[in-house]
Amino acid sequence: MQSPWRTTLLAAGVLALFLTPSLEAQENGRITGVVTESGSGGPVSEAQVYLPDQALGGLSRANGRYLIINVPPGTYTVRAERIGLGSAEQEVTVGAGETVTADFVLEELALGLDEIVVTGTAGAARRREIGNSIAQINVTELPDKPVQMVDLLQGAAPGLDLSATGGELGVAPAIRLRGNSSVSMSNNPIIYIDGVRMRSEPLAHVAAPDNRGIRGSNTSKTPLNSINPNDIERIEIIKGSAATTLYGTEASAGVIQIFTKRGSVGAPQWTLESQQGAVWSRKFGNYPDSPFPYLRMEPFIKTGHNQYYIASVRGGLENLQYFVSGAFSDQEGYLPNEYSDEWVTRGNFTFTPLPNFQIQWNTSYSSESAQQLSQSNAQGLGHNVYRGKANYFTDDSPDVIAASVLAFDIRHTIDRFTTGGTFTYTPLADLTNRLTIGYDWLQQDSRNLRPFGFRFRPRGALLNHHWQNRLITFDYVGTYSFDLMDGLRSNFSWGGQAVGDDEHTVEAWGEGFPGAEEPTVNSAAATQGFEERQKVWNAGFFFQNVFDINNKYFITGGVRVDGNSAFGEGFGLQVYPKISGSWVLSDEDFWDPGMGSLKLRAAWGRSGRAPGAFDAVRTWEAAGLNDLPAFLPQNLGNPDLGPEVTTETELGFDASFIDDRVAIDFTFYHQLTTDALFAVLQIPSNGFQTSQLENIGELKNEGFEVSINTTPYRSANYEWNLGLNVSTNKSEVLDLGGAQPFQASQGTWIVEGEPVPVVRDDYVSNPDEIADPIRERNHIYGPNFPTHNIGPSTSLRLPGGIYISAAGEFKGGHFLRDSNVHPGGISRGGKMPLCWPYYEDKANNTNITLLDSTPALWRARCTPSLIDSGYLTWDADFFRLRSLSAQVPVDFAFPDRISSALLTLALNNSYTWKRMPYLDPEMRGNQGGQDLAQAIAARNPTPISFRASLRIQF
Amino acid sequence: MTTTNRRLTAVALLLAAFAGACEVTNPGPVQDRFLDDETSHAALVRGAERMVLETANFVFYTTSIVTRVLFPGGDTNSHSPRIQGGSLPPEDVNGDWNNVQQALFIANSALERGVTGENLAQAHIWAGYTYRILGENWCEWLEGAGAPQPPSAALDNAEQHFTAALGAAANSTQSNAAYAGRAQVRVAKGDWGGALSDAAQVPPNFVFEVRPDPDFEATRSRVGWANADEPYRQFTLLFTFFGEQAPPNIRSLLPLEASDLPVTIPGTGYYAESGDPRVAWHRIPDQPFANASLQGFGQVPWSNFTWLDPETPIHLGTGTEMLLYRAEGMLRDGNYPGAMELINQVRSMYISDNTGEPLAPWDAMSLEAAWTALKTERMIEGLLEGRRLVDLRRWAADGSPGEAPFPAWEELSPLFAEAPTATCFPIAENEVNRNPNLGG
Repeated sequence: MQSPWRTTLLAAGVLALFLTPSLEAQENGRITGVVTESGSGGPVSEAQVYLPDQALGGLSRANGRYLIINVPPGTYTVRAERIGLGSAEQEVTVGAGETVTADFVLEELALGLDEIVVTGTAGAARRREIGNSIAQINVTELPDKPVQMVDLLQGAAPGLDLSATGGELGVAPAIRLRGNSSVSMSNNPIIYIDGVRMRSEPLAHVAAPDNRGIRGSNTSKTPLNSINPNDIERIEIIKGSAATTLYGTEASAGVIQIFTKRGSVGAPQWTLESQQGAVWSRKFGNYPDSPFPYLRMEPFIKTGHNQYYIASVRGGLENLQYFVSGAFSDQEGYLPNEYSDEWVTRGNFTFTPLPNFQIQWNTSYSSESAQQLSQSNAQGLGHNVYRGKANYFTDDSPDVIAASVLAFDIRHTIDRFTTGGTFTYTPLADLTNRLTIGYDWLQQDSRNLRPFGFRFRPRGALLNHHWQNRLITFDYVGTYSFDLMDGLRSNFSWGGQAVGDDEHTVEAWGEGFPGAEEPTVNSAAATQGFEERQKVWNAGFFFQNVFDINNKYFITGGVRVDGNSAFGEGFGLQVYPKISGSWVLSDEDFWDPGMGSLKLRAAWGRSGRAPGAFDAVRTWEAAGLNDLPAFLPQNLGNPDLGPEVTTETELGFDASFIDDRVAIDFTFYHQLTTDALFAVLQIPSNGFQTSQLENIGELKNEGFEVSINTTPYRSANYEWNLGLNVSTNKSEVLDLGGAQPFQASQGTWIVEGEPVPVVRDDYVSNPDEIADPIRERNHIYGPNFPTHNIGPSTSLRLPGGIYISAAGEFKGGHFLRDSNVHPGGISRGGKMPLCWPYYEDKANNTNITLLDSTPALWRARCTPSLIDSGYLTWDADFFRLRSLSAQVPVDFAFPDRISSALLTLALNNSYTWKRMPYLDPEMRGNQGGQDLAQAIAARNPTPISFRASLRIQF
Repeated sequence: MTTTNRRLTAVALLLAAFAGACEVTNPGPVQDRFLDDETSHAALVRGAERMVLETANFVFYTTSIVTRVLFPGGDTNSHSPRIQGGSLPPEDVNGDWNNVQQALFIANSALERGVTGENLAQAHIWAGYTYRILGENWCEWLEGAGAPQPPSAALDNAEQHFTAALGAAANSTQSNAAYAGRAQVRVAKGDWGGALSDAAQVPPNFVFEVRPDPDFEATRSRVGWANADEPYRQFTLLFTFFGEQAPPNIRSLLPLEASDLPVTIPGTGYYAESGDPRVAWHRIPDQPFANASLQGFGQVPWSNFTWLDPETPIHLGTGTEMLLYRAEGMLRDGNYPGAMELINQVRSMYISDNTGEPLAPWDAMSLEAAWTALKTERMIEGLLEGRRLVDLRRWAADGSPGEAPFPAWEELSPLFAEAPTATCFPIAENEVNRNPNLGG
């Protein structure tokens, strides 16, 4: 196919040329000035300053300065605005060749009650109208934008939890909004970008068929990293069914909507940025008396170098505006065989051919080439390093391990093309129609090669894995507003949505190469092919009405009706209702404006989650045996299968006090999932041994979220901000529907009365006794996911525009099992540093005899025939300093033509406090967030990273 | 048509289109009803064959470890340390149980769907061998989420299926397979008259086997893979009847380093003495150790079978085994010279790697010595064929004389002394936890 990115770039370049205003005519004037924030007097960057009636405008730079050129003589209204701040207008008169100064002061809107949000609402709504909580991340405001989207989302909002899955590059984290509300289906929220549904599940896991599931990197790449954080204007997050009703069957895990930057009226404004950085590993083997601070990984750990380059331009005329960007990143991990080179391009165009008709068309293309390390399997680095001589070649020499394992070559090429347009037609002032169509195409082409002579497969083996996912979005919404009576206005909305999800995998496998040349699959002596195809359509329509009473009281009612191709015969259309209300208390007459602002809100709603494409049907696998077909039982089937339905109630308030210096957002939520889909393990003697989904369970999820932002001090030169996000989540299995407790994944369980999921495993009931261990089966340790997240942050603005910020994250209340780092080594008769204090003879590498004084727990942990993962279950509380950054304006070092130059130094994940004595709580294996549960695996912890970037604007 | 009607029609059409949009047919998995079609029956019966293969694959390997035919190397990919020590706890045998149950389900499903002709006989054969494996190896068993039954009930079912297979057999392979299977079942039941009658029907050179498919990892011979250093070296022949015997000072050498490895002591170990190709093994200098360590022993010196690889077929019934049944029948009648003749007939079918001549016959000057020869020969001839666990159990039960080789390893590692050696499989934990008849 013709490379779509080339087409995009070409079009963007041509348009940029056409849209660039001609050289400033001598007779025209200029408008310039500084945009500052009212409270502190500090500069405001990226504020749009424009002449509403003219095709003229510009963006403010980091120092707050803006410039509008080519202004014909005359008198104009000039407006300045930015998300999170109010707008301001001034009237100016420009003479021929004259430069007029107009400074703007924008007020910080702690609550932003009149700010427009669109996620979870029909059409768009002001914040004051919305009865549910909606988190908004104003990315433009962030002083230090990370290179990767997942880093941007980390700890960004209360109730949003990203659990990193090891320190490898680009690995998908588990993303949770308000915890796990499903046992069997994905708990990843669905994601939209500019109204177009994009894949939010991790990319396909690539593993060779000779041991399906584990011969590879054992990670999945995240679909989020194809988005350049610098392209994003804001992110809206709705977290539960009270808010996601209008998204229907696929939305009970929440919705994240990303809005990218749009063009602005005015001359082209360029931004260029260069980043250089490094990543390295923290110590994770802090065992007493052990010489292995990195658990024998020392010879393989290095400092990885990263570089990142960004260029963007935005501008436009009155009827057509553009934002075009490109970015290139080149990253190395801190372990061998890990790199990623990625291009991301974007072109966003806003076309207004008629006053009442607008087209917004956004397109992005990204391409990543990556290499991954083989991990968490017998032919991977971790297993063979951590286990010492109990590895798979009984040799712990680094040279032998490197020669044996690092030849395993896993490479991916990941391409993504996302395009979509929103057509907004407003035939009448009170009637708006909006149609969005979108297409998200994601392809992963992988080669998983063990070359000829590979230690574990001497004849060599190659898997070519070709995976594609296409998502098609159709979304229409109409809104008609009218006055029912004096003081009572009605906004009636209607609409429909259809999302088609088409996924297919084609694999070619070959083994037995004739020699050491670079092979293809057809070089192999034996070849096989595999194919999987799966298509799911979900479509629905909805109605919603908002009653607006005196602009203070708002009541919203709505209903969504859904169909899904995965529903069984017994289910037809699903109906999801919602109702919510908000009361802007501070607009009441009795409210003293000096007390600040306060909005109370309450919401109730339902949404669902569909089963998989094949779950309702009894199926057999067409397998084979010696070149002849054979059938094996596959899926028991359940014709009555339907979606699980989550009903959520939210109560909360948004408030600001003390001259908007303190802003508080509080939400309590209670979710009840009925008809919960449980993968009920079948009785083996009935023949079908895979689990079968049944709508039998009931789950509860509740907690609160608080976001507090304060400004203890501010003046013209100094400002100190403090922020705190706190969220709790308590989940519980209320009813198993008659099923027995069952294993979820990673050794966790679904047990009535316990969290979703709970760590349940073997336990030593006499841990400190100097005696043989007493084994207690099925001991309940506790929740597997954090029950409370605390995210403190602070920032300091100093004279000269210097800005220092820090953000941390505490996660607690959860437990993680060490699934295979220590148990794997110990059960194989290896000597692990964990047990060093208890070995009778430490020097001897293989003789495992424990001291007589060894307590029972450690006897269980260190004896090969007794070891069980349960004995290595840790309280996983930890705090990590996620970011520490400083920004220094360096305009002085550049010619005047450069309007802004900013140097940023950032250190990420530099400090960690953790309760578990060994390893690292983010050293996890869950194959990229797909699993319900998580456990410590033979991977590596999140790296510490340092970045220095220089951003210039002109 | 009124405006209202037109609007209702439009809404109805919209809903119909909407419902239609959700109709998707995905390729791939085969819907159950398709298997009722006669054209699917051969593939369904072959599904049963595949699961018999997977069952034998795991069960025969596991029983070889437990009966000390193979010395474990410490690797836990196939067997937990507990199984390596010789016990069979319910939580460690879920895979064996799942496989045997699925084999049973597919074979019975084929019969319920009315397979005919050659497929009918073959379905009975697979059902028969599956019940045979259950009856010979499990302490108690069940099917269809039912209540536990004694092994004899599985053996009865096996016998019925083999009898039915004989009635429907379309060729000599099917009839020989059915006779061989029924003889095995009758021996396990103690019906020697019936067993010897069936055994006599099977030609000495007959082999009924299931063949691994290299394209499917689950069918590859597990014991072959464990033997193949790709990457597993899960067991060794050292300390076994076939391999090098431990030097007297082995304890003082533990843990072993490469330089301590016991050298081949001429005249020790069955293979060194006999050159019997059925147990041929060697040591690969580049790989001195198995790929893990054994508790209390350390790294395990590695030696492996020369003839065994992941594609080696697995024998279910053979003519040579029938000869040994006939020999055992004679021993039970006190006719040890006649028995020795049959035992040595089996041995004469193999050429010694040492001499290039047929294997030297066993000598037995007494009934007890003949029993020892028989028990030894059954272990060799039935190597990795899942015969030994049931043999040891039935010989222990009937108190037959003679020594069945069973090396004493308790000194080598506490693994071998910690739990009693299992004589049969329990019902697996997966079944116990879910089957209401077992309190699940």
